[in-house]
Amino acid sequence: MNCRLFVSLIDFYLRGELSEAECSEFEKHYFTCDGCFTQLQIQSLFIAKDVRVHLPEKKRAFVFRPAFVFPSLLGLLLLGLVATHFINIRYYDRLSRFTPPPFMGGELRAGPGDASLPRREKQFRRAMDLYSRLQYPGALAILQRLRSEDPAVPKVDFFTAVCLLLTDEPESALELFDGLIKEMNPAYYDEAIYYKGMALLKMHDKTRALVQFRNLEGMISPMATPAREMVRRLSE
Amino acid sequence: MPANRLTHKLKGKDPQIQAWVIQQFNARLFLYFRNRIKGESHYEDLVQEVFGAFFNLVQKGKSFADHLIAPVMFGIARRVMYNYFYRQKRSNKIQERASANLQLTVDFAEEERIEREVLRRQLNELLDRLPAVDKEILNDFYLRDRSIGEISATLHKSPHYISVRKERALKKLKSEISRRKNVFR
Repeated sequence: MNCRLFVSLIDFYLRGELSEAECSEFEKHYFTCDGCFTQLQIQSLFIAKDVRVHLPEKKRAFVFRPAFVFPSLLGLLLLGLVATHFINIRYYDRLSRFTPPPFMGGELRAGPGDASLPRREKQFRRAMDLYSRLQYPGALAILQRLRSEDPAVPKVDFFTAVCLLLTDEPESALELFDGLIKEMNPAYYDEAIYYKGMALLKMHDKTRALVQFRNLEGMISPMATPAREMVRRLSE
Repeated sequence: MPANRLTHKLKGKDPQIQAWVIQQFNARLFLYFRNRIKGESHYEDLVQEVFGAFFNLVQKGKSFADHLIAPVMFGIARRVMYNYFYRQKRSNKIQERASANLQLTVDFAEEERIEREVLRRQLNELLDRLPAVDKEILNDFYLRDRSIGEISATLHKSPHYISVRKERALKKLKSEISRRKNVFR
């Protein structure tokens, strides 16, 4: 008996499945061959279940469970929507940040014989003083009072609209800017278009805002350059 | 150098050579008797009888070549086994014959148990180092008594692949244990 045949018969020998002649041959071999006897000893321990095998933990196979998958997908979808919403808010916030237009001075104009003019002039100066010190809610309160007394002063309208924009009331600001654009007052026409675009951006209306900036971009105006910059940023 | 130098030394009752012979054949004889005679609780008596007969043979002047020691031992073991089965005649002088010819006091069963325990520990240690697939195949085949076909169906591999992996794993274990035996011998 050679070693190869011996190895193939080990399990049969240990389970008592060999004939008498095969058994004798087999035993004769392992009395003379050290290597084969070692193999026989090893397999005898296995057959006697006298060894211990540490198996690695099996990975669980993927099983499609609709009851688990669909709510998870729904949850993911909702999460995605919420995340998109917050990303959008941050995006429009960043875009609609602007430097408030400076107050360059000047007086309120009124018809002759207007007795309340000095008082309103004083109030307007006080409002603009607050505006310059970035106290927009205080300035807004005074300007709105002035508007209720005389609604046809473009300077008051413009700064009221800007204050509204700065105090997060873009809808009201938009109405005032629309009024200024409609009047086509040359002192505030370009600025009104620009800040109307900003108000629209605050309202997350990117398309209409882009239209405003594109209109302004083609004009010969000091506001054309910032409008061009806004068009570039919105087109990115 | 004569070819039968071991029998010469055994004739002179050299304890080192006697220990070598016992170490070489003790486990083999236990395994032989365990497989041939089921349900016997005192295999060490039969093993002792074989060693006793062998050393007696040498003392009587029987000389044989070194490479024939193993076949002679196997022949004696077979005769002892036949005696056990067919004649049920056990020598009453086993103990005296063995102690008369042995220079060592040997507990054959204890020797065999220690050798088996050492082998078991080595095997457990080596099994941990085998690849996961080999471990799984050996575990399924020997410890869970599953067939090659069943294992191949579980692991999604061909039966030939499973069979080859099993043989290779056993061969790896054997070569490592043989290497250790030779180192410590």
